[in-house]
Amino acid sequence: MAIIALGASLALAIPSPMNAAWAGGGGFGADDDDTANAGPPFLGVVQDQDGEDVPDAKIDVTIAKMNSSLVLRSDTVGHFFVRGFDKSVDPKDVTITCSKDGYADSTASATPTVGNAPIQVICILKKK
Amino acid sequence: MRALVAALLVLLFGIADAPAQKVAAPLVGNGAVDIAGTVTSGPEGRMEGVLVSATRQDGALTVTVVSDRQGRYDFPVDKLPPGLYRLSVRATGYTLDSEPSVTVAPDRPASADLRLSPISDIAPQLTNAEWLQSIPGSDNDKKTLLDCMSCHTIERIVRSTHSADEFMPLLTRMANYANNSTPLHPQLRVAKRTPKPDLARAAANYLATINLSAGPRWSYPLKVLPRPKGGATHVIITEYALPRATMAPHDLLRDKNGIVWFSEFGDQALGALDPATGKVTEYPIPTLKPGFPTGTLALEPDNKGSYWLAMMFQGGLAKFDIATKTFRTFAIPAALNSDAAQQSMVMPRSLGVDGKVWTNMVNRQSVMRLDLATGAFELIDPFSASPPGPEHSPYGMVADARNDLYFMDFGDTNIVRIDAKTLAPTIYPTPTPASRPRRGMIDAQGRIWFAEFAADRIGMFDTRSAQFKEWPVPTPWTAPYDAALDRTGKVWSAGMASDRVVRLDPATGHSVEYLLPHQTNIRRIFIDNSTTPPTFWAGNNHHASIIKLEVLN
Repeated sequence: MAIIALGASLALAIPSPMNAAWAGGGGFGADDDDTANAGPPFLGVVQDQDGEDVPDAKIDVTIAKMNSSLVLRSDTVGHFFVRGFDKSVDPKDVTITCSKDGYADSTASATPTVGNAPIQVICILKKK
Repeated sequence: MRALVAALLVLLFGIADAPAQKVAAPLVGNGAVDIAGTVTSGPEGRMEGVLVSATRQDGALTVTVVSDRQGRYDFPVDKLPPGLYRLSVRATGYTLDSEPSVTVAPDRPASADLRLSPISDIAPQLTNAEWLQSIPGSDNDKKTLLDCMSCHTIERIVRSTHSADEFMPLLTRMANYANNSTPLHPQLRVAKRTPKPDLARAAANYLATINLSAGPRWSYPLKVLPRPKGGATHVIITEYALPRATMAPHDLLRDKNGIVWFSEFGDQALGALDPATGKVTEYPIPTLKPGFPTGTLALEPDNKGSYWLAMMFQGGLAKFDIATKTFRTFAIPAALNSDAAQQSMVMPRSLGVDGKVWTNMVNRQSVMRLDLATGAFELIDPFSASPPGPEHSPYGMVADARNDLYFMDFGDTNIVRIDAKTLAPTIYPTPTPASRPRRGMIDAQGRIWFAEFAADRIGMFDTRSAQFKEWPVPTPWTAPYDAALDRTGKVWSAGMASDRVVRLDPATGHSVEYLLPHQTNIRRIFIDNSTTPPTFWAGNNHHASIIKLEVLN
């Protein structure tokens, strides 16, 4: 397990939320504006120590301060994508763990980004 | 007896077993299947993941299986009552040139090898999710369309030829249909609504970029989701047709006698299907507000086994006594019963604690609570202390053992707890913003499993630790409506967009998606834990049927 450590602070332009067209849903332009409320997404790849992509690895994304987590799997070429959490989540507080049968330690490291550009994550799994 | 029934069908309908494609002589011997064969095409040879449906001559029953890696399909014995069946397929990009008819008779397994031909026009075969993936625009642009699916398909929009200006009055017209409308059964709201001009203009401008207003062909390529493979082919789907095309099953549950009860979104009746016979019985619900849209949404049992229905624009709740088959209705107070009054949800499961039933007041973004002893309603505004801005919408409801309410804030992004004693709200935002939590359930450990409609995620909120956990569904634009945990620890979900049922293993994050045989608009789901493995049930809201999905092996 490794904790993502990011030095860059994130500056987001937060437009004022729109009022929905009317009460009760079914409106055009309801105020569910992802870009206004979301922090940066995470774009990751899981590889073994030889640099080979590892598909179908379990990815645990934990935000301890929010008492929250997200579970997903890497795709057929070892990639995974996590859409941004709420803008109040500091990416420094996000922990990403990778695991798969037959592999031991999991490691995740992230490349800091500016603004809402995807945070690049690499998780290295070592064969047992 | 089965042979006699088959003979009667021939006499009644004048249709004998007259195969249009290669239908081999009945197999004799193993008795393990009723119909079996292979699916092939020129481009692919043997095809995996093709849905093969057998529809009984009377149209009341359709059973679907999926071809395996070798292109083989088979209908297990006893899944098809004796009779004459028409075979059809679902495989996007292909068509079955003619649909063969096959007779199912005792100990006479039939064989039908199906040869598919590629087609060039795949547009009629796309799911809403595939359209949402195909159309240009930002995610926020596309989210404008999510609520359209409540009444009709995305295909209906993209096939239109309206300009942006022509869309403006059309959007006002759409805004004035009740939620419980379909093209077959439109219902107008009594309280008029006027979209905000700037928001309607933005929507109109966008819609004119994705439809056929600029020419006879779409300017963007059409994206097709992959066919099922592997474990996703190990399934059998049974669809029970309801007697009227306008019947719109919304919520449902299966009782201990096997009867499937369902709310009818467009009609003033409670439906009951006996899957053993296919018989459907409807129990008329009293009309509280003549001239207002009809139909009910939420259907929930109380602690004594009575069924409660949220009466939508009829303004109140209905309680159905199973023993006497009679209704008692509870109209909301006159002071609140405006033309816009709407109750979509009801939560009576912990009624035994304090004699109170929860519901919502959609038009006031509020919660209500009925005191059964007095018939009085309380109005609770959970967001009175919240900052202005977001449009809240109390929607899916669960109640814990103390009859505290937890509701999904479908308009925004919260799970909200209302303390039964103090009525104080506690708001818990989901980790994912703008998730629009919709429907769900609470398990014995106090965990709420719910669908994040606008985030393509399944969520879990542990009421004991206030911890959230989320899992993405595999297909973008699934727009899950509901989620439910089964007794084996798997979580099921489905919605209006992808024609797929999702089964998630929350421990591993693995999901299996089971494709359904045709366009399927799913709302509430029900898991029957009395079977091994558990069985999935849902209504097809736009196509008048009840669906049962059983995982094989």
